[in-house]
Amino acid sequence: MAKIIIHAVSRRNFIKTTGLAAGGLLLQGCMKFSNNSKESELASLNAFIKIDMDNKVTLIVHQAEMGQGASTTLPAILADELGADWSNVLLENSLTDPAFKNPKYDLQFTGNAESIRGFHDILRKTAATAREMLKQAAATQWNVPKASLRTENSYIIGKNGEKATFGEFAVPASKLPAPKNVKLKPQTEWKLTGNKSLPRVDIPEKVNGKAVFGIDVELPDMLYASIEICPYFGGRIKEIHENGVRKQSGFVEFFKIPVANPVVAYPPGFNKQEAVAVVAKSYWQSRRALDTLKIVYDKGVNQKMDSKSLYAIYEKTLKGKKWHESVKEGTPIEQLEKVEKTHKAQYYSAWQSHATMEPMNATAKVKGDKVEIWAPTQGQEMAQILISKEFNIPKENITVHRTYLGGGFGRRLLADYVFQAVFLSKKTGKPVKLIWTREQDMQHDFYRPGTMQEFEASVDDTGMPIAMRTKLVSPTILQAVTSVDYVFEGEDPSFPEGIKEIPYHIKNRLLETNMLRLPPPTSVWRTTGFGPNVFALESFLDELAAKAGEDPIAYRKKLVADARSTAVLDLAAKASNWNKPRKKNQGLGVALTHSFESFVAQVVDVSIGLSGILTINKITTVVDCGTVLDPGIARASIESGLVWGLSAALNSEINFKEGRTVESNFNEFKMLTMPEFDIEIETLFINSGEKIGGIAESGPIPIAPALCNAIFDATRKRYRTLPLGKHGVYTQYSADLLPVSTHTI
Amino acid sequence: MITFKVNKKKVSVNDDPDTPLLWVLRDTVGLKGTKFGCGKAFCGACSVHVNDTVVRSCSFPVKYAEGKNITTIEGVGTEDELHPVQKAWIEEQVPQCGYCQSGFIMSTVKLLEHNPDPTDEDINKSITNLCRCGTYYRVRKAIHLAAKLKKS
Amino acid sequence: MRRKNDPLLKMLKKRWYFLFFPLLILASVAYSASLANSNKSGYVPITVQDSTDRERSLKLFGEVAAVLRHPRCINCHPSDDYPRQGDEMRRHMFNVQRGNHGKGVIGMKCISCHGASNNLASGVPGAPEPDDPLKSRWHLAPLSMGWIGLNDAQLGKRLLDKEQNGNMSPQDLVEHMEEDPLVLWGWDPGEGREPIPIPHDEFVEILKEWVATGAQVPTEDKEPKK
Repeated sequence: MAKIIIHAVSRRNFIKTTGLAAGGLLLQGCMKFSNNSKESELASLNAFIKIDMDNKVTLIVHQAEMGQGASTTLPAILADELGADWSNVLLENSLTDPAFKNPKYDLQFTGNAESIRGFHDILRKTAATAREMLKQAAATQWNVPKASLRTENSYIIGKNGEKATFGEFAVPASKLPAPKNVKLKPQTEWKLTGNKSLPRVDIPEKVNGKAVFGIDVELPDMLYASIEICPYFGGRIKEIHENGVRKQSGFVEFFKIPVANPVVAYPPGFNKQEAVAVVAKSYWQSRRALDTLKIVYDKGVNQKMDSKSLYAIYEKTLKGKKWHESVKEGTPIEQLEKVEKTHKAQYYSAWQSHATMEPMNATAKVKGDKVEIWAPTQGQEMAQILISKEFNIPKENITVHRTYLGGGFGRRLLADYVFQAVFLSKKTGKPVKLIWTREQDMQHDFYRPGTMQEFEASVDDTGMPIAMRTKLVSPTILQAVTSVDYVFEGEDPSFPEGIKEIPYHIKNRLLETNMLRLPPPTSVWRTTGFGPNVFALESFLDELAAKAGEDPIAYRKKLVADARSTAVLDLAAKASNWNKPRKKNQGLGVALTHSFESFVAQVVDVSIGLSGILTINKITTVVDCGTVLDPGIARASIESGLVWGLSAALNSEINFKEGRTVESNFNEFKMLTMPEFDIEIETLFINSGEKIGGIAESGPIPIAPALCNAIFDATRKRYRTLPLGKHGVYTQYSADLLPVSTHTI
Repeated sequence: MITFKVNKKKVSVNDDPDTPLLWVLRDTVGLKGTKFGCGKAFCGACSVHVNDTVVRSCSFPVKYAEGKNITTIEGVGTEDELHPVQKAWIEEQVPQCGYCQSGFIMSTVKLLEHNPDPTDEDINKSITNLCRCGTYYRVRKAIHLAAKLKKS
Repeated sequence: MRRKNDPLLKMLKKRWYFLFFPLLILASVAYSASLANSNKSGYVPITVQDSTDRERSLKLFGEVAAVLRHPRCINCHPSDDYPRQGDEMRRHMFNVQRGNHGKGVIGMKCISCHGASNNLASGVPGAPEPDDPLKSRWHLAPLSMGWIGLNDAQLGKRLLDKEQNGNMSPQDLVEHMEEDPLVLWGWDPGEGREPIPIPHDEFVEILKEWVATGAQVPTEDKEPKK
């Protein structure tokens, strides 16, 4: 069952022998679908599927593989609909192409849990079109009705023993007009997708060291670069002292790199980070040379900024009067004033770093007005747009090869590091691979910003909410990846997610937002706006349930607006033994989210030890993402999300001091480790048959509120700000890492 | 000139003696399976075997590799026959982004050589590598499976 | 092989000690006698005749103890299975454990990260010798030499107890702290780590004088608890 991924990049040895750098595969005798078809249909077909006369079926993977399984499930959808032999298809990583744009955003990118839900229908239709064309060509030659033919294992098969490979009809099929309104296979005929777990195609080379990540790209005659970006937000590089750098072995040159705009120009004063880069003959030599340089910074206007002063801005804003009205349903203000029984609470989720295991890196080769880029990127087209704008090069002259990504989580939508690599290649006239250190990566992230919410609700005599008012204070999380200047529009579409549309029916509702402008750069982070907002909403609902003296699940069920929410809540209750009497010090907490078109209910089961030590006994997750295409991959995604969400709920956070980021490596930014994740988990799926929803971003959303609700259930203590470590709530493992008095005197 | 063996093949390198073994393996020897994650021996992505010991190669100057046997992810199995740990990793579908997995595998290979039947507690002590995708649940399952595969 | 130095000869080289010479003889006789008695029974308090001498020895012990409790020393002398890290003396990150012979567990040995010198690239500290990371002596002191949590009396007792301290005489202790590269590392701990504040030679002088004054340690019941 060997499957081959044809990468856009190759190992040094390969490149040396073939002289081939990269690019789309050119198969000898490959017949693309061409001719009278409408241009867009044709383009789409050719972009995704190639069939050559030797019956070689090549499927194009157009979404970044960053562990979410896109390189398996996406081509499996194509192969399934096409009737191709999965064990023999070739897979190829895509370049940029209009056919790969997400139609919702008119942009080619990987993120927002869009890989499947954004493209499932497109891929099925594309593959079905190709299938029908092959069948038509065969039907014409065999003089049988097309409807009597089927495709299987890359064969076209008739009812009377007719049988031919796809390859035999590739050429005649390609001359046919593309049929309109092709019929898709019913789910009962899916063989590769739909509750089938395929072995992931990328895993074999991820266990033998052969997978090529961005950091592994090698080109002939390549130079290597290290970088130090001005650590002070809004600071400048004042002086660079050579300090004998030219004598360092392998040193080539150093450069001051001007400000890189992520995709578009930020408003003035917003994230303008200059950098110094050293180019050398090897990467380590570039690191040593960079260490030699003495760089003096002008700390700039934000040098007094720290976590405390930022938090004060949130609080002040929350008390202020400047609000953008995001949602208004019914008469919330009147209702709040009319009813005496109100409850009010304030929540805060801390700043977070993406901390992908592979630090930011990119390789660029600039030759004249042609640019070739190899990068582990979620934003292939964004990189193209940025480089086009910054260097005034036509977009079509910029080729962006996508490698495997050592984690994305939103960070790799941005192309700041790509810009730097291109800049250095242009300056040196040679291919340059730039690798950030972990310290640069953490200090120059586009962070998930701290987010503050205030909830106020009035309730009726039974404790059910009549009106709810929500205030949201947060910087933008979307501006860095789009070309719209949201800052001046009041809100971006992502930052109110989770509280703008809620899975609950509350008649009178007001959401007011204030999108802050703060010095640290911010962007989307796995869970997008849902993460912090659902933490606040689900905590608040739990508080209302407690005030009403109601069971948290029963309370939610009274409020939910649809059957799918009820179903995930019911199954979560059952699987978690929700109704079983609690043991001493035990608590169960629930949270529900409707995000990325999926419904997730999660129950966290905890015990709180005598010394306040938190033990997570079990996490139960129930997911209704419409149709599960690959349960194995979906389950992995949920498991992954638990760790992601728990890290942020328990310990990890980004702080600021003297105008720069405090944390710089994994000793300070505390992510969950193996010993801490020795937890029982149960993950269940409901196949509701509804529209396919996203999974990767949904899993980590409910964990923080479910955990805090569980702690409340066990202790009656309510934690409204994250991470919990700030309150002294620790697992045994983390508590053991705290400084303690080491001697008694 | 520093001479040592990598995956049983003799190599001689001219790098500065203080260069971390990690970068010599990746850029001079050309074996990219060993990954750079933190540079501070925190994350374990760069783990290799030096003789019989798991070493975080970002914290091992190449000068000390002289005369030693280095094994990297490329050398734990062969083209035809994967190491039982690699097989278990595939069976349990462990990797997600995959970047940190070489390190996990290298640590696990050594763990099982010295402790053929590790308990969860043993695993918690020996395998403390970082994985941002959070594959820990499957890593644990795969370690137990690899122990079984090795015995059979 | 350890270099066998005669502390008295060494001290004689320093003029200052001549003033205390009679006392030193007395003290050394006293502790030799006590050591003779203590061959099989671990710690035996050393008695001195002169109460002012005891006072002085106790004062010197206080200075010695302050060094032993410095994070650079005590972090590798835990009374449990966990090495400590940093000036705040918290547990070593990433679940590092004592393992066999204080050298870590499989896959997470001390030498997985700590090499033959302070590593400039990774910032990981290392033992200055021998010149081979795989033979690095970086390890935890045995549990019997765990100091964390001990008061002065307990610390002193444990320090001098030959059953617990690896059969070291006070003289051996002086040598260990004068010459062992792992101890000396405390004064050259690499960038980003605070070295032990008092100069090493001064510390050794204090240590020697403490030994010479009878290596007195506080008695348990008199130890003030704070």
